[in-house]
Amino acid sequence: MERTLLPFAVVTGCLLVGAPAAAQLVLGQYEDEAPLASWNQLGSPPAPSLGLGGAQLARVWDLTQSLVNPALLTSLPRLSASVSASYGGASLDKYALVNTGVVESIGLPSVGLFGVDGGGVAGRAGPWAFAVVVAMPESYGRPAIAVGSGGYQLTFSQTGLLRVFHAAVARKLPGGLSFGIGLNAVAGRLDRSTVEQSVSPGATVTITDDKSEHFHGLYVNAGLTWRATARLTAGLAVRSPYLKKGPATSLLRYEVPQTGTDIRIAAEAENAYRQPWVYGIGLSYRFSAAWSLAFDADHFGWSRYTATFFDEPRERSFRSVVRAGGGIEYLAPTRFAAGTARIPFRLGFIVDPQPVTTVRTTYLGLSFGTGLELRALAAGISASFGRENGSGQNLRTARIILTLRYHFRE
Amino acid sequence: MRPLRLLALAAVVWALAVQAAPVPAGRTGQVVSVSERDFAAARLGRLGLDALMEKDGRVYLVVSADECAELARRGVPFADETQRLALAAVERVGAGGGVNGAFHSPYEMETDLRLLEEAHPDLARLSEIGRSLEGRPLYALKISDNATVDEHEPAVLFAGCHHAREWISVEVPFLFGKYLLERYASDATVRALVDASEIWIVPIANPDGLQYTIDVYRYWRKNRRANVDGTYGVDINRNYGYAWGFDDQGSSPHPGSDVYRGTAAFSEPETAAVRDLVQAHDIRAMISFHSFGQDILYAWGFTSEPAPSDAELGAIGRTMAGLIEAVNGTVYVPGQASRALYVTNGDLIDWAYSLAGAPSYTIELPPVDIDHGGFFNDETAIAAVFEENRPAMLYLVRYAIDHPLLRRPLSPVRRERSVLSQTRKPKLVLRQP
Repeated sequence: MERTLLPFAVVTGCLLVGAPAAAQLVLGQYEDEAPLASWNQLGSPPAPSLGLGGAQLARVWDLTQSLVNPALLTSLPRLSASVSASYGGASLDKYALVNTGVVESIGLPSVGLFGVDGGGVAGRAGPWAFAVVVAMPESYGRPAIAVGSGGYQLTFSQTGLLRVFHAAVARKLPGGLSFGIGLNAVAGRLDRSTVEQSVSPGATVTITDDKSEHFHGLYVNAGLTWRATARLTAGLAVRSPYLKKGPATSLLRYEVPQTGTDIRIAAEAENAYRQPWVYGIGLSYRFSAAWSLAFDADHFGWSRYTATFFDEPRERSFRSVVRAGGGIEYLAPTRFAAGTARIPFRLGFIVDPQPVTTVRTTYLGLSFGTGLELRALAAGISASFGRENGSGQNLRTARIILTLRYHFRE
Repeated sequence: MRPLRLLALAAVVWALAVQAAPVPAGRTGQVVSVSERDFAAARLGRLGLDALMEKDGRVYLVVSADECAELARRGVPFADETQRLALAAVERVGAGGGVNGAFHSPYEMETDLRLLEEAHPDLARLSEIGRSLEGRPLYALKISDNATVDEHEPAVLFAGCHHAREWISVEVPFLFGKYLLERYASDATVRALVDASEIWIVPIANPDGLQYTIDVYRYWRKNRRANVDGTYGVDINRNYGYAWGFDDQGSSPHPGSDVYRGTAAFSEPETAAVRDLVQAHDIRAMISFHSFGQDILYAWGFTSEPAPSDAELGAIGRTMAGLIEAVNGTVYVPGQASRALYVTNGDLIDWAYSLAGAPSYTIELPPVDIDHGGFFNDETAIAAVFEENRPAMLYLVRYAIDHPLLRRPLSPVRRERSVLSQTRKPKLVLRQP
């Protein structure tokens, strides 16, 4: 057994028993169904990718990039495994009851989450490559609310997440080309609850508003890579639109036990959120064995986004956007535990405009990354820091990702 | 548009089923249709049959087994529509509902108003009288004979949902319009009123707030104005132009208050739209529906001094209270708004009354108090609340037809100085999910 496999297995196990929450970069804004992150979710970038501004279409570090561009699988070793976990913090402006008229926050609310982002295994046989990945790219959680004094109490909670189960196949083609295609099943939920209670000498009034949604959906992603020269690689990826839909239930309830008042309005429906086309292009250029660049631009077709909530179309004024990110990498050779190793240093930038048109905002971010590549084991850690402009709130974000990758012997 | 028509018919049948519409005892409730030509030729109108509506050249009737036999005896060809319409009604029920149950959202109301207009093109005209802050259309349904023609008839306004959380206030004016249109062909009293007047229905004056109560917070009251201090909402029933901001007791200058009156009279597009509607027509009476409390309130709200026609307003109010109580014993208490409930300034009824003395009322619908539901009403109570208010609404339309107005605007009032009061927002405490 390769000596580095044991630490990989131990750390992976520790991460997998961690809290099942996603930590993400920036705040998804202004709608309940927004991910607690940028609206522009595409895969689950591993640490090296985040260090280079999220670039992951043309340069392969990790098998979880198959969520975005499965063609990259053909560049991986015969058998590999990977897991990523992250911690993210973000400040928020408006959500649910907060700063929309019901309760006002003193300063901006903030949220911090730790969780496993995703992991999987990949294999290669001749020109063919395969991967199975489970990831959690979206979280719908919001900071809970508890306000009130005396006989009055108002509480609010919102939790939710979306998981992706991904299987992909890729093949090397002549001319330095590779092609890959993935099938993705999504499943998730979003639960909201508001409880308001007033206690007076004669009566206790309790108002409850519970809404619960379950999601499922199926989409295809595909990618192409072209090794144009020994230094330059281009990548192209596309994600099909799909319907994130599922059963939803609602219960509004007004109770006054002392008078026997118990008014309920219950509803069931099939909610649906039409996710847009996404396509992107990436470039990777290697100057030397030590220095390289990577850059991605992804187009999200949000202008065609639709939401149907309890049988009614919801007005969503969205625009399509292009998110861009890139960075530079330097690999420093070193010795570690009586062996050769490499320490990467990465610096990147992120420009992430949001689709909501009523409050036009763009997140601008810088990212940094390092790690250790030791024989079959590679560990990467990256951090990004972003600031939003456009809303006047100067929302801030931070994210730290740890990725462990293990390449089994050829 | 055939599906829409079918939906309209289905809605009629469904309404009959769930709202306990007054089908005469002994009738089976079977729905049949006959051609308009046969209806006229056989002089079926003289039989007192319960006509639902006229559509596509056919008259739809609710008939008993005996009446069915009578149609056959007279040789009138008819088609049994019961099963078809019931099926469509079931589909309609399945398509409705949602978080707000049998109550209307702005989207559902738009759909239903369009259905009514399409089902009764000669009697109903739907107008967009403005747009809310968030861009939702503000609708007014005009009901009159020759609805598309301005005949300068006495007009009566029934408005609902100035306050977002008062869901029942949407339903009563809407159901009244529906009732008038569906009974026009068969009810001589309704026909006489509709022929002699213009009845304006504005079921949702505050669509943005109503949507917010459905999506986010059930107890939201105001509209969705983003105020300069970061708070939201203007109480649009404190934003009308008579005695606006008279004091800080009947409304508040503080944006965070639930009774914030806005930066100026008619600063809100919702109130401006109602103002323009009222000023463009000969409004001789009106009711603004609210909840809760079971009150019938009239001017003045801004002062405890009586209005110039206090006696007349009181008499009409007492008559309406009597008509309501006669339906099923529910007691609504009439009184001058400032004395019976609390002081308000900048509300719709003071302003409408000030224009030319039109009898203007705020009716606070059930329940009677917070212990019995507050701003909540059971879905099954919608029909009953409408039914008990219907006679009073019909009476007010008749009164408006028969009585001219003062025709003289009342003098504006000066603002009073008083101690400011402020409603503080609760301090937020956050927990991580």
